[in-house]
Amino acid sequence: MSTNPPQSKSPKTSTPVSADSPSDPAKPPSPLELTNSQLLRRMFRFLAPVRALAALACLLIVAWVFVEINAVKTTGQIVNAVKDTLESGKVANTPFWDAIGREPLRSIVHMIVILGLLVVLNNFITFLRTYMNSRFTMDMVYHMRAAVYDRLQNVGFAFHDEHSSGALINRALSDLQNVRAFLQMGLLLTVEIVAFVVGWIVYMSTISRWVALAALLPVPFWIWYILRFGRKMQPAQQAAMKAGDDVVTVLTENVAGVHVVKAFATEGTEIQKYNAAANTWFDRVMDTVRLWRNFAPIIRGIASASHLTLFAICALLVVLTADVPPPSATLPTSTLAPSTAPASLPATAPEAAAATSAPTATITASSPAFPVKVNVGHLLVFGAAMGAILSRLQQVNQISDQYQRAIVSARRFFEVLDAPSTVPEFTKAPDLPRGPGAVEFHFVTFGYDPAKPVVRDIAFDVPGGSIVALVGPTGSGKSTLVQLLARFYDPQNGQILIDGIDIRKASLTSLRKSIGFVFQETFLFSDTVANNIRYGHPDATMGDVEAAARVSQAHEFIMELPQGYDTMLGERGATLSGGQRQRLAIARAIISNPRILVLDDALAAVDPETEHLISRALELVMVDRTVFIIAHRLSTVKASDLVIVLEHGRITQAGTHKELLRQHGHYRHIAEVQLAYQEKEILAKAEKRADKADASSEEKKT
Amino acid sequence: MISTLMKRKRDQRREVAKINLPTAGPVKDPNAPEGEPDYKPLEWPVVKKILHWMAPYKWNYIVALLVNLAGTLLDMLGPLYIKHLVDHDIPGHPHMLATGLVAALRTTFPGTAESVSRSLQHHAPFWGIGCTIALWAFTTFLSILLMRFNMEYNRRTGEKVVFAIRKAIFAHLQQLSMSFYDRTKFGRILSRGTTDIDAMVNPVVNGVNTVVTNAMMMGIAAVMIVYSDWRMAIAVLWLGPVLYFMNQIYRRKIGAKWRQVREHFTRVSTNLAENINGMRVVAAFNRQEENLSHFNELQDVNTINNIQASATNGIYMPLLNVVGFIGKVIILMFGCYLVIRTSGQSATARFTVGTLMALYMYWDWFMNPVLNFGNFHNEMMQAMASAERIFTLLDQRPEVTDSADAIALPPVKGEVRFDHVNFAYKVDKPVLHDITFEARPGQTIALVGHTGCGKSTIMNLICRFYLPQQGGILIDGYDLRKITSDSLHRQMGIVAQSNYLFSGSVLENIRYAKPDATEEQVIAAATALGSHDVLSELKDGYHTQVGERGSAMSLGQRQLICFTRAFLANPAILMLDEATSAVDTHTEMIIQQALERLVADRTTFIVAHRLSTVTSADLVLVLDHGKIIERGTHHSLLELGGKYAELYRQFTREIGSDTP
Repeated sequence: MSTNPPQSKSPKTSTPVSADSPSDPAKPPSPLELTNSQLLRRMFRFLAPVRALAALACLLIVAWVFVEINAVKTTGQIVNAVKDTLESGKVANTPFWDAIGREPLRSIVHMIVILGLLVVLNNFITFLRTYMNSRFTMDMVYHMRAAVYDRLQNVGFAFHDEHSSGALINRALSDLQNVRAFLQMGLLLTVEIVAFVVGWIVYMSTISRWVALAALLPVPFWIWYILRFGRKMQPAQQAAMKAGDDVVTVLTENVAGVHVVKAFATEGTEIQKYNAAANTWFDRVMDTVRLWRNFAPIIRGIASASHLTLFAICALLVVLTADVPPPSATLPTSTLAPSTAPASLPATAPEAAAATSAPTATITASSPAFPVKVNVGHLLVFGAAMGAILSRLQQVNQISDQYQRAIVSARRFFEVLDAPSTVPEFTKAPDLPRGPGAVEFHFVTFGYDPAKPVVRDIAFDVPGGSIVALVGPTGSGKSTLVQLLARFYDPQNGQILIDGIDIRKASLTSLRKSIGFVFQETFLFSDTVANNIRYGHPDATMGDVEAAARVSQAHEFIMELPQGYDTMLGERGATLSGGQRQRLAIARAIISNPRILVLDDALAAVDPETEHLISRALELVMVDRTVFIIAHRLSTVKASDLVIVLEHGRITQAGTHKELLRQHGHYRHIAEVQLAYQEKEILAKAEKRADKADASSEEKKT
Repeated sequence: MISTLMKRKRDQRREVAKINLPTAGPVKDPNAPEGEPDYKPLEWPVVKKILHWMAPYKWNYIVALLVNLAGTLLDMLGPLYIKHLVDHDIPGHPHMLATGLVAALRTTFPGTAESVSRSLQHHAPFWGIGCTIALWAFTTFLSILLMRFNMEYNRRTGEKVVFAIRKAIFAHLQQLSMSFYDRTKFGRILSRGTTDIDAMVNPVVNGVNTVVTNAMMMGIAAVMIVYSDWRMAIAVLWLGPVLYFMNQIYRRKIGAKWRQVREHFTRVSTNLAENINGMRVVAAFNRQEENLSHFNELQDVNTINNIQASATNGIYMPLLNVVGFIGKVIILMFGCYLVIRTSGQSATARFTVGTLMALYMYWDWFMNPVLNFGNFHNEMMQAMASAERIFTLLDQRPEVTDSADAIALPPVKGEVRFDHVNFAYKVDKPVLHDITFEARPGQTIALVGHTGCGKSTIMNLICRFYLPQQGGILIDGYDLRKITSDSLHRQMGIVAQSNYLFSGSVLENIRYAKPDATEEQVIAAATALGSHDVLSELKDGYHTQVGERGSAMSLGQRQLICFTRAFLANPAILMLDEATSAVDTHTEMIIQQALERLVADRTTFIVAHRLSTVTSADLVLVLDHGKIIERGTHHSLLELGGKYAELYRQFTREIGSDTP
C-alpha cells in the first residue's frame, strides 16, 4: 500500500481496489499481516511481567533434572556395589538388622540413604515446581485477560459491530488459553526437554562417548517421525472434531426446534439425519485411530530398538570392562590386572578369539574408551536414561501442536489488543459542565463504513428541556443519530455540541454520565434488581433506587418478586416480561438524574397494556430533561416539542406534530396509515348502523 | 505411554469444547449442569445396563481383552530378560537358545555347528547377550503387533457401543412428548447427548481392559515378589493398600479443588460474556472501570483457586511418589542383604543381583495399577452419574402415545371442534376451562388475549402435543385420541413465533416437511406465495445458507421462509404464531400478502399480533385466564364493547384521541 500514495492519480481500473479497502498509512501493520516470527516475539512479550517467576520455574526444572539424574545414577551404583561386594567374596551371615550395620552392607546402606535423600529432595523440588508453574501461569493469564477485557471495553463500537459477541468471547477465553498454553509449554517443556537430553547425554559420555552417541542416534529420526505424524494427524483430528460438532449441531437444532419437528412429523428424517452425521463422526474418529495405529507401533518400535541397543551395548561393556577396577580405586589406565575371566574379549577382534591369553593387550588399547567400569547397575541407568530422553522427545510434537494453535489464536487475539479506540479521548479532557442540556448537531455526517454514510448533514439545535421525537422508516439512521450523541461513534464530518461544548473535547465519562439511555433491547445483568437499577450509579442508596423505580412504574411489580429488590435476575434468577424489563431499564437510566435522556424505540415490542404503563412512566421521567425519543406510534410522538423525520439518513421534515400533519410527506403518510384502521372502523360502524336502520325500516314496512 | 497420549488428546478436545461454548449466548459450564451430580458410586443396576449395551459385542470385547492380556504378558517379560542378562549371560552361562541352535545345526550342518559350538564355548557372554536381546526384540515385536491390532479393534468395538447409545438417545428424544421438552431445561436435554455420553466413552472403550489388565499386572508382579522371597513380599506388599487409600484421598481433595476452580471460572467467563453482550449499556453507564476491577477481583479468586489446586497437587503427587519409593528402598535394602547373605548357597537357592533388579522393576508394575485403579474408579464414578441420567432418559415413556386401536387420519377437510375441553399442564394449575368452539374448513380463527391466557395451549392441544384431561377435540369428526399422531401431523403445518430454521440452505429449509419436492416445486410455491422475489435476491438465491438457527437471515426473511415451508407442505390445518418484532414497511407488505395467501383455503389458527390479521379473521376468540370470554368477528366484537373493544382501543389509542 505504501507504493500507492493516496494523492497519486492512478488509472481508474486500479482505484476501486484501494477504495474498497480504506487504509490508514499511519496505522501499524494489522495483526493479520504480521509474520509468524513477529507474532512469536509479541507473544513472548507477555512473559515480561512474570519474567522473574518464569526464570525461577526454569531454574527449578534444571535443578529437578539434575537431582533426578543423580538419583538414578545412585540406584545404579547401589546395584554395582552389591555386585562388586559379591565378587569380592565377602559374605554377611548375620541376621538382617546386624548385617546392615556392618561392612560390607554398611556402605551400601549409606548409598541407599543418600538415594532416599535425593528422592525426597527431588519431590520437594517437584512441589516447588508445581507451585511455581501455577503461580507464573496464573499471573501471566491474569495480565492477559485484564488486558483483553480492558481493550474490549474501550475499543469503541465499530469493532463490536464487526465481530459477533460470541467470537469476541471466544477470543478472550479460548484464544487466550491457546496462547497461554503455548507460552507455558513452549517455555517450560523446552527447558525440560533440553535439560533432560543434555543431562543424560553428558552423564553417558562420562561412561563412554560411544554410549552417548548410540543413545543420540535414534533422536533425529524420532523427532522427524513425530513431527511428520503431527502434521498428518492435525487435519484428521480437525475433521473428527468438525464431524463431532456437526452431530452436536443436529442435536441442538433438533431439541431447540422440537415443535417444528413434531408439527411436521419429521422425526424419521431427523433420525436419519442424525444417524448419518453420527456415522460420519464415527468414521472420522476411526480415521484418527487408524493413523494412531500406524504411528504408535513405529514409535514404540524405535523406542524399543533404542532401549535394546543400549542394553546390549551396556551388557557387552560389562563383559568387556569386567577387569577395569572400580573408579574409586585408581586411574583405570594405569592398572591392568591380568584377566581371569574367560569371557573378556574385545568386540573389535572376534576372529582372534581362540587364544585366552590375548585379551590383555586389546583391553589396554580399548580401555580409554571406557574410562568407567561398566557394571550391571548401569543397565538400570541406561534403561531409565533412554526412557527419559525418548518420552521427553515425544513431547516435541506437543510443542509444535501448540505452536500451530497459538499462532492462529495469537493473530486473532492481537486483533483485539491492537484495535484502536474509535472514539479517542483527549488526555485530561475536562468534564462536561452541568448545564441545561441544549443539543446542537452541526452538519454531522457519519457511516459505519465511511464510504457509505448512514446519516448525512444532520443539523438542528434544541434548547435544554425540550422533547425531540425522531421518526422514520427502519434503517433511516435514527438509532445511529442518538448513538452519536453519546459518542458510541464519532462522526466523520461535523460536530455535536452539548451546551455549546464539542462533545469530543469533554471527557467520555462526564459525557455519558449526563446522558441516560434506554435501549430498544433491554439488557439486564445477572445481579439483583437493585444493583441493576443502580448500575450507572453504584453508590446510590436504596432510597434512590426505590424512588427511581416508583417513577418508572416498576416499584409495584418489584415488590411482588420473591425477594423484592434483592431478587436475582438473569440466567439463574427471576424472569421478567418485556414490559417489566423495559421499566427497569428506565429506572436505571434516570437514577443518576441525567440531563439528557435517550429512549431508543423503547415501546417497540410490548403489548398495549404494558405500553400504557410505560408511557405513564415516560411522562413522569421526561420532565426537566432534554429527551430524544425514537418511536413508531404517534401517541408518543404527539407530545414532543420537535419532531424530526429522517429518511435515508437525511432530515426531510422537522417541526411540531401539528405542523408536520399539515405538510405533505412521510409524517403525514404514517399518520394516515395508522389512521386508516380508525377510518375503516368508522366506516364499518356507519355501514352497520345503516344496515340495521334498513333492516328495522324494512321490518316496519312488513 | 500411547494410551496416556491418546487420553491427553481427548482431554484437549474436551477442553476445547468447553471453551468454545460461550459462542452460544449465555455461558454455562457444560461439565456441570446445575444441580446435577458429577459423581455417583458404582451401582450394579446401572453397570448392568451398561453391560447390556455392550452385550452384542461381547465376543469382540473378549478378543480385545485376550489380545491385551497377551501383549501385557509379553511386556512383563522385560525384567526377566534383565535378570537373565545379569545372572546368566554376563557371567558366561551358555544360553539355551545358542545351545539349541547348535543342536539343531548338528544334524544338518555338522561343520557349522562345530565352529558355532567352539565360539560358544569361548565367547559365551556374547552369544548369551545376543540371544537374550534377540529374544527380547522378538517378544517386543509380537507385543507391538498385538498392540497395533488392538488399538483399532478395541476402540472400534467400544465406539460402536457408544454410538449405538448416542443414536438411541436421539431416536428416543424424537418419541418423547412436548411435555418433556417443556419440563426439561434445554441445556440438560442437550448434555445427555453430549457431555454425558462423552463421559461414558472411556469406561465403555477401555473399562474391561483396564480392570482386568491392571489386576493381572498387579497379580503377576505380586507373584514375582512372593516367589523371589516371601519375607520380601511381607516387607513391601502392604504399601499397595496404603498407596490406594492415599490416592483416594488425593483424588477426592483434588476433585473438590478442581470443581471449585471450574465453578468459579464459570463466573469469570459469565462476567466476560455478559459485559460483551451488554457493551452498549456498559459504555452508556460508564461502568468500564468498575467492571474491570470487578473482573480482576473475580480473576484474583480464580488465581487463588488455581494455585490452591496446584498446591494440593504439589503436595500429594510427591507424597504418592515417596510412598512408591519406600517400596523401592525396602527392596534395595533387603535385596542387597539377601544377595550377600545367600551368595554362598546353591545356584537355585541364591538371591541373585538379577533378581534384585527384576524385583526393583516389577515394583512399578505392582504400584502403577494401584494408581490406575484409583483414576479409573474416579472416571467410572463420573460415568456412573452420566449413565444414570442417560438411562433415566431412555426409560422415560412418552406421555402422549397412540392408543393401540389408533387409526390413521384420512385426508381431512379441516373441521376442528373443541368440545368442553379442560386442560392443565400441572394437575393443580388448570390452564383451560371448558373450551368449546368449532372451526369450519377453510376458516381463519384468531386467538386474542394476554400472555398466559391459554392461546398457545389451544394450539398445542390441536397439534396433540398434549391430551386434554376432559372433553374432546375432533378433527373432521375424528377424536384426536383415536388417531395416530403421525397421520395427524402430516396434515398439519406450523409457523412458530420464533420462525425456527435449521442450518442448511433456504431450499432445504423450505422443503423440510416435503423432502422430495424438487427445486422447481419450491420456486413455484414461493412464487405463488409472493416470497420468490425476496428469496431469489439472497446472496446465493435458494442455496444461501441460513446459518445456525437462521442467524444469517433477517427476521423478515426468516418469516417468509417459514411461510413458504408451510405453504409447500400444504396442510389442511395451519397453526400460526405471528412474530411480534417489527420489520420494515416493504417487507411487512410482502409478509402481509404472503400471509393472506397462506391462510386462504385452509383452516388456520392464528395467535395474532397484527391488527389486519385479526380484522380479517372469520372467528375471533378472546381468551382470559383460560376461558373464552368473547367470540365473534372483529366487527361484532367491537360492537359488543367488551374486553376485545378495550384491547382494540388501547391498541389504537393514539389515533382515537387526536383525529386531525
